[in-house]
Amino acid sequence: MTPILECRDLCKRYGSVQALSRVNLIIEPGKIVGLLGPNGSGKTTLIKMANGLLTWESGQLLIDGKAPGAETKSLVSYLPERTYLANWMTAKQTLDFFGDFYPDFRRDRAEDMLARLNIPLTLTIRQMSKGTREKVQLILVMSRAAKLYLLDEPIGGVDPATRDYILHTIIGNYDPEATVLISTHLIADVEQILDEVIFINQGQVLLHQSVDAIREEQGKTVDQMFREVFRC
Amino acid sequence: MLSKLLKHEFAATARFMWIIYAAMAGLSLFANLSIHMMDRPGVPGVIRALMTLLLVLWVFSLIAGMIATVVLMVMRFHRNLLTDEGYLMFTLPTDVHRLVIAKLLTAVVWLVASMIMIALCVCVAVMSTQFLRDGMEALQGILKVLSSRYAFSAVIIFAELIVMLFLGVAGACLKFYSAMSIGYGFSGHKVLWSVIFYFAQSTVLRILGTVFMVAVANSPFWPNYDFLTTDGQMLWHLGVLAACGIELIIGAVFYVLTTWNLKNRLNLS
Repeated sequence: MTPILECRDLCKRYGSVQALSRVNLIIEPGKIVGLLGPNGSGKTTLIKMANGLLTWESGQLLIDGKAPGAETKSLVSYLPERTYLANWMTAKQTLDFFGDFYPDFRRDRAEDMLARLNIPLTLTIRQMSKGTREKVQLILVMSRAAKLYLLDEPIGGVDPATRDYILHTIIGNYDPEATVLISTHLIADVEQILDEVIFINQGQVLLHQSVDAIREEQGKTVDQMFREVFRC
Repeated sequence: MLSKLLKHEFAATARFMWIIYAAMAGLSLFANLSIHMMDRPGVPGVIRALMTLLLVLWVFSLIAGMIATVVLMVMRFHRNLLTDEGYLMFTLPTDVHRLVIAKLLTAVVWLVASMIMIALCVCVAVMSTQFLRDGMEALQGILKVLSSRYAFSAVIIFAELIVMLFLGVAGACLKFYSAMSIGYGFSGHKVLWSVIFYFAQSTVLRILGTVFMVAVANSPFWPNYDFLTTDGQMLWHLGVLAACGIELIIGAVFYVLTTWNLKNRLNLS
């Protein structure tokens, strides 16, 4: 089976700073994977490269066996760590936009989720609170029937209730055959939904293991393991 | 995919452009009223002064309309591709070429539409006055002289000027785009770098243009032309062809710079 995401000796520099150093990764389809590491560890850089937003100096990155490009972008549903929707657009216009560009966008599902949250379709992004904007963006991203979901800090900077809603939405909407890669440093909140974890620090992958293996072989939770690996 | 991008580009820009055009048209109607009132005898001095003020305001509104169009098109490229919205645009299942072409075509259409709008506003303001009649007569006179002396076809001249206009506007847009795409590749002072590169590009173009003009003027080919004979027609067409060719080359260079930088030096953080 072709891995959905594969990195081979991937290197990236920002000036004199080595953001990623010889990263080797293979992520198989059908998993929920946590990309875990402290701030500045290279999580966002890796996700941006997988989305074609950044280029790299050396190595290879493949999405479903192909280099990032127009074709792979139709397979990937990306949630960045910031609001990327134009603030003049209404919720309905954002649905139209996603419907136009992504053939896999399930509009009925998105409308249903917006209705359950009582978000009017006529409300503009500018009129929404930060939490509502993040929910709308997540609804749009998770309403796609993508093969790979790349979620960059989806629960960062939101209240615990919104955090629960976001995690519930992720679990409730992704296709079991698809892969979800969640980048975060809030381990305790995501631990219960993860199949695998990747620990990354200073641009290097320190650990790539299944959550069950960590629990059974090490006798620790992912949160305990994280605190041990990244002890200051 | 390009048609979808164009659809969303026009939707995003039209919401401002209609307001600008409505304001320009409204002020042109008032300008027409002012011109007619000022033509009448016995209008009090205060009213005459107010009408003059309105005419000045109208002229400024036309200039402002054109400037606003340019600013809006530049801002649209900046906001939609180089700020947070870029995270969405660059992850759409399309390539950089289509993203830039959609922006470019939309900008060219609105800029040319604004020029047409200004011409229409002038026509509205001077409608049914002696000025319009005099203007039309003068234009006909110029075309008649051109036709009789150089056997020019007014239609061909018009078509050539339109092509030159579109290429010139596209080249001007691409100059802004390339400067921004280079400036936003830096990690800091992105706006400053964009401004620096815009002026650097303009300076280089001016130097190259001067060198080219001097080279053409000194070429042995130049003095053989007799401007007041039928050679004049050929010279005009050659001139337009050369101008279009130069605009195309300049536009192509800026386009390559823009797309290369957006592909390889994109730095949205």
